[in-house]
Amino acid sequence: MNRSGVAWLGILPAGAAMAVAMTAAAGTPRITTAQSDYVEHCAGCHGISGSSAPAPVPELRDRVGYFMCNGEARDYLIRLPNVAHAPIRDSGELADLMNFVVFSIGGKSVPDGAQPYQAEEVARLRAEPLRPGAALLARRRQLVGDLIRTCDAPADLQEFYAGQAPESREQQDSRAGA
Amino acid sequence: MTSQSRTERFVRKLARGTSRRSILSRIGLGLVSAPVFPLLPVERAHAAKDRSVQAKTSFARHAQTTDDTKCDYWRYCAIDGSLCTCCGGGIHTCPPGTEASPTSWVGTCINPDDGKAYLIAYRDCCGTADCGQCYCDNTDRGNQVYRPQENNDIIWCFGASSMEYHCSTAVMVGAAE
Amino acid sequence: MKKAKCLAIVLSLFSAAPAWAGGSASPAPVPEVEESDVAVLPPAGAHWMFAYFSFRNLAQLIDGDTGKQLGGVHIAQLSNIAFSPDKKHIYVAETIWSKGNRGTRQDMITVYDGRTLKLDHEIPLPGRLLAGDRLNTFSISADGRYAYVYDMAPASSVIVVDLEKRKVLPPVEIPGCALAFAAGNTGVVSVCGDGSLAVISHAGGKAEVTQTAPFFDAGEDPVYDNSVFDAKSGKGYLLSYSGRVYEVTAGSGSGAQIAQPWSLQEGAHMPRAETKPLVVNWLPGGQQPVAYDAATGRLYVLMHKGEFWSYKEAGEELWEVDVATHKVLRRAALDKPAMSVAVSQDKEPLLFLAEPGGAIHIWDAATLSEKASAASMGPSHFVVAP
Repeated sequence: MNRSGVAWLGILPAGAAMAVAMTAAAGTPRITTAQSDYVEHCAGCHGISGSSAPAPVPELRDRVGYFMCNGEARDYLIRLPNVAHAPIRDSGELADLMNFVVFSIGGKSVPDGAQPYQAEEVARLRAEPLRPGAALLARRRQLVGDLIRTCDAPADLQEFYAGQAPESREQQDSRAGA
Repeated sequence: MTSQSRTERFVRKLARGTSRRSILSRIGLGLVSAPVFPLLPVERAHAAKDRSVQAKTSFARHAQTTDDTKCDYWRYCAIDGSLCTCCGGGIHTCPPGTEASPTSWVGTCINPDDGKAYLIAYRDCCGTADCGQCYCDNTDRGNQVYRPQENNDIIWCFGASSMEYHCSTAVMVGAAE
Repeated sequence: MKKAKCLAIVLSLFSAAPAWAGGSASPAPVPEVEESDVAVLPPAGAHWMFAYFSFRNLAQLIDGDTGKQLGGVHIAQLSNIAFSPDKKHIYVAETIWSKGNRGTRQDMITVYDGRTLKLDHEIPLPGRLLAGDRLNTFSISADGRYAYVYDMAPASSVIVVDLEKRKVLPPVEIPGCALAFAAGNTGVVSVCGDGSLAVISHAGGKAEVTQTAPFFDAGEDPVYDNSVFDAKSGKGYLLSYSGRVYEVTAGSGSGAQIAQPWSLQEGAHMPRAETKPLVVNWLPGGQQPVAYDAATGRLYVLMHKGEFWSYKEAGEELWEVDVATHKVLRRAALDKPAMSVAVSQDKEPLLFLAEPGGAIHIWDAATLSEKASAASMGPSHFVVAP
């Protein structure tokens, strides 16, 4: 934080800087807009570090990058309703957020040569979100099946988080409404 | 659970709200639908994300930064429930015998000392009965369950070993950009 | 003194002994002046309602004409409750754990007999959302055949329950949407995070889902989860934080129609409220801020003077609004602020108003004057008899 943090305190009037130093806000690291958007709109459920295991929420850390392995899975991430409908109107800003999620949080799971999302691409995809009635869970299962077969994704990518015991197919089907 | 105390706190909070309202009514006498304070000509992209000084809510204008056991402490701008600071825990610490939920929701509150917006994770402590102390229900930029990531009525104990709600913390994550 | 009295009773028993020694029937060892028994309710009245607080375990059944408590039904915390349309059953959608605060989670609809309030049967559920103060996460179809339960696991779905066959049908996924307002006999309306509605139709056994175009700004001016919907007519009114009213018609066929929104404030000859900060307006507020009388087409809304983002503030006034003309017909000042409002669905409607501390005021809707009162255990919600 140091350099940007100091610069940030430096532009405040002396009195205000004193007050900051005395509150819990002191020493708060400066974060990027993409990080801030991630925390505000995603991190509650997915975890500030990209994992909220053992909550029944897809773990992003070192896993979400596998979705960049093929076009369908890449599109799916943007078409998820909470991504497509995120209260971020500028699709460039949303692209920055999703590139942070995929490349920073996704870490080692990103395939070599994966290209970042572009604003126009995000604008096009978010206009076609997964709609009510779409079998979201079945769709995810099919896409992840492909990633496991063709992209070396681990078998537990079908589960919410690494190391989770596989759910029985029967349970999954009943939840998917299949 | 000790909802008697929840009710009492609720009533007390309401009393506080009422007096604030009557002050408002006095200021706003004859000004219903007119600005309380002069509005600066600021173009607002969207109110829910507006963190400018001009967009300060009633809560933000009256918030304090010294006592985190009171409902008007600045980080509590959208908290709903018992304050863990009154239950044996702290602002980011769960009381003994409880478990910090791995999930939460995130709000933005303005710190009156520097006028800046900060990201606050409202993380519930779960696993035992409602604490019943220091009940608060603040609503800055709070939304409904169809926007779950902005809703403070959901029991945010997903992933904890028990869904029983005890109290809420307000964890600082960083400055909102 | 006490001993002497006991002795006297024992003696009198002995002296009575010869009277029953030779009889053929074996009479009670101790004659009982009064017998303990359990009351059975008369057929449900149109002025009956349940009052309950999300964090207490009794839903009180109250007769609105007198304010008297007629009985009660056990509810787990964060439950939903409903009458069957024929009032013969009471449904509680609830969640418990095998060891109280831990152990195995169990979600179910618990069905009680409407006259004895005794447990009739249970229908296990695959899950349900746990949230405080929500009315429309559970509803019953107009004909009483189906129940709808909103689940967030955290993927969103509506669980359709066949109450007659006591069977859960496959859940219907509604990505990005929430809530389950029953519309007609086989329709369900949900509200979506992009400001649209999802409409489920499960006529003919197969669920079909359509989505309307977005029509409200969910980030700037959200509509209340606790808006009102009449399953019989398929008409509902979604109320926004700023006091915009969206009339929704659904339930016959697929889809939903949404009328042009109108403003509560304009109906009271004021400029419409906006979402701008630092502006004081009359705004809706509370935890159950609006009620709908389907027969008269009147909305009853709890209103307070405040700034935007005060959507849970208790009401200072009750506004009566005509949905046909959009006019505010009457404004009644409340002696004590109210968090919840409901209205009975009959020819002589009663209004129910709950204070945050639990006091309940029962008004004659024709005169807006108090008729009875009751006490409940906190900031209560109401579910009125159909």
